Amino acid sequence: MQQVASTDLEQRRTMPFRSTGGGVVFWLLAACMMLYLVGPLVYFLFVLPWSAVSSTLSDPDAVQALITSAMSATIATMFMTLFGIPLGYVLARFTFPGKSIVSVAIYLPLVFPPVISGIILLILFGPYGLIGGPLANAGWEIDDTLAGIVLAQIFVAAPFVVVAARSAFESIDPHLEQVAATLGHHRWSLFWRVSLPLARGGIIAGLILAWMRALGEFGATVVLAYHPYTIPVFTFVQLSSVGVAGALPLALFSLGLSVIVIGAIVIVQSRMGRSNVL
Amino acid sequence: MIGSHYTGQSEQFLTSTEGAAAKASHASEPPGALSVAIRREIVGFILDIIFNVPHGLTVLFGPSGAGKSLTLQAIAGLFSLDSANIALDGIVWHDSTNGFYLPPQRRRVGYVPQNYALFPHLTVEQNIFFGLKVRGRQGNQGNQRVSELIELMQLKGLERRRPAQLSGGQQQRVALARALAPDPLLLLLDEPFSSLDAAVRETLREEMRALHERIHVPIVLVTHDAAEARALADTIVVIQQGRVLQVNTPDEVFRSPQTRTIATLVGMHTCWSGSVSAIAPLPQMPHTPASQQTLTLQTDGLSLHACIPATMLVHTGQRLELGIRTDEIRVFPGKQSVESINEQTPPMALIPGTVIRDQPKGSFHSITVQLETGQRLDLPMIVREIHDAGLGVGSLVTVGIPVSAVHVFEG
Repeated sequence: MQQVASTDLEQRRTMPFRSTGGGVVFWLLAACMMLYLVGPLVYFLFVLPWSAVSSTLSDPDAVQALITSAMSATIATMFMTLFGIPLGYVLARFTFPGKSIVSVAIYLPLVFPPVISGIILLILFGPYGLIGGPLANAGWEIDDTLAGIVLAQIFVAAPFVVVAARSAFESIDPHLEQVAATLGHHRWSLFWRVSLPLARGGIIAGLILAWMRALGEFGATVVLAYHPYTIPVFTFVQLSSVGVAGALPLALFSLGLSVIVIGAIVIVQSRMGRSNVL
Repeated sequence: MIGSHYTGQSEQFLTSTEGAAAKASHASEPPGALSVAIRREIVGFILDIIFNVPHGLTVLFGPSGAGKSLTLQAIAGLFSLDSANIALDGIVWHDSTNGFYLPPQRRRVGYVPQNYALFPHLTVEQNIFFGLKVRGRQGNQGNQRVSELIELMQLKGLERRRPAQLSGGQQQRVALARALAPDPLLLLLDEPFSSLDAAVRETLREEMRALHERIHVPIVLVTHDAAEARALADTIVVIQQGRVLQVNTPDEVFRSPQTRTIATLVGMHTCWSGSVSAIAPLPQMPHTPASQQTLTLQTDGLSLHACIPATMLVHTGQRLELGIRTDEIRVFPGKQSVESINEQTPPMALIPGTVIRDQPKGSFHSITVQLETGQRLDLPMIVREIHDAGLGVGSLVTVGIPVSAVHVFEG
């Protein structure tokens, strides 16, 4: 199975014929796209006030925002692991009425404007919401707390985990689970011994991506939990109060983190051999 | 047996499987070690399989897409069925009439799918150990069983390899070892040789036979390869388009296929039709057994003799379908008559003809002879025979068709 995959890859890498003109058009169009994606980042590094970077990032408010972001994104990712992987498995392995509706519904948070997601969550978890109201009365406020941030991040980022887990489970040869069943292993046992180990690469990549998405979450967070500040919200606050100069060092920080995360995903996928997310 | 279990559905079953299948599951036969009666309708396909087979190596034989693999999965309990009755040695695994269903985890079958489905993240040793974890064979006892199987399947030195680092033949042996480890009651093998090179295939086929004689576990093996079916099987179940066509020993299925459809599947490609001109013992064959009767048939200018079961009712003038066992046909150089062939041969129809084609087919040649009466015959001949007789394209020959070369279809 793995041998077949690698020879496929080799065949894809070597083009079946030599380019004979006409390729120029592709190169021109592709170059425009590349320039637009990479150019602004390069320019940003040139105009960045490097002298202000250390002072801005050591500002107690910035440090606090960093801690809030890291904590909320990590807690959100833990919830997504616990509930998102089982949902991916159920979608990959079982048929049930309404499955196609669920399959489409999990993509919605990916295409919604995040602000809309925030409003939808607010009417449910806000101080007068269906769930948020009674909780607020009991002294458990969700909006403008870490809990609110986590809820917003899960809603927006969980689809990455579910979709990645589902496709990772679906790419496993069903014969493996069938053989495990004839060897006496029940669903729970074969999930832990066969399905999960084989889906690991795709799932980890999905989790890293979801963690990054949670870390960068702005739209839904701003509506449901403006306080305490996360890095994106704090960056926005700096932008509107101090101006571009105050926001740029924070932008550098986020950019650096993104580069590390993308690198991590590439490494995980090349190690584990499957490409489900990137 | 099936008839008694299927009070509600027997009618449906019997009407849907005419001829061979109905006969194979007839209530007067003793129940086999493995009895299978399953039905499942999928869009555009009906799987409706009934057979009883004794212990031994059973081959499910038929073209691709006939439903052989689905049948195997159904026996393992991995494929959901509309109705089913599956039992091994009288122990019921699935009986839809009373809702009894034993899940695959408790059937104790060793299942080896076509691609072997070795766990890619586990070593050879861990793969073999996989079925011992849940069957209470932990620790030493389990390890001992694993080393026994590594010995038996000649996998020494490969214990710590991963499946991707093994050759196709080695992967197959690991898959077999893994299936055998928990002492299965039945071994199910889906096209075990199809992904192997022709050279390895032959060797492994013999190993499989030898293994079967050592382990005494009944085997059900799926193949679409006629030569493989004939070489391996104790019993062949011929399956086409979701139905069982014939259940019998390989000799019976290959020499005496019940219908022309089966004849095509087993490689009996020469089929003629003829009319009965006489039903009488042949003077050259005074010792016809009581269970047999001899016929003389006329087919397009040819007069052939045939031997058929005494139980088969025929009358003169009746048209019958004939299958020709081309490997029983003799070829003599030049023009010959009964007198000139000076050996004690069984009654043989002698027909002059011309060699019009000579095709090498691996270890033998296929010689095409155009008969004077108009028919063509593709005859297998070994190279030495061709040389001895000095045959080539254009040679005049005399073809001898003995009684044993003529098969009469019952259908």
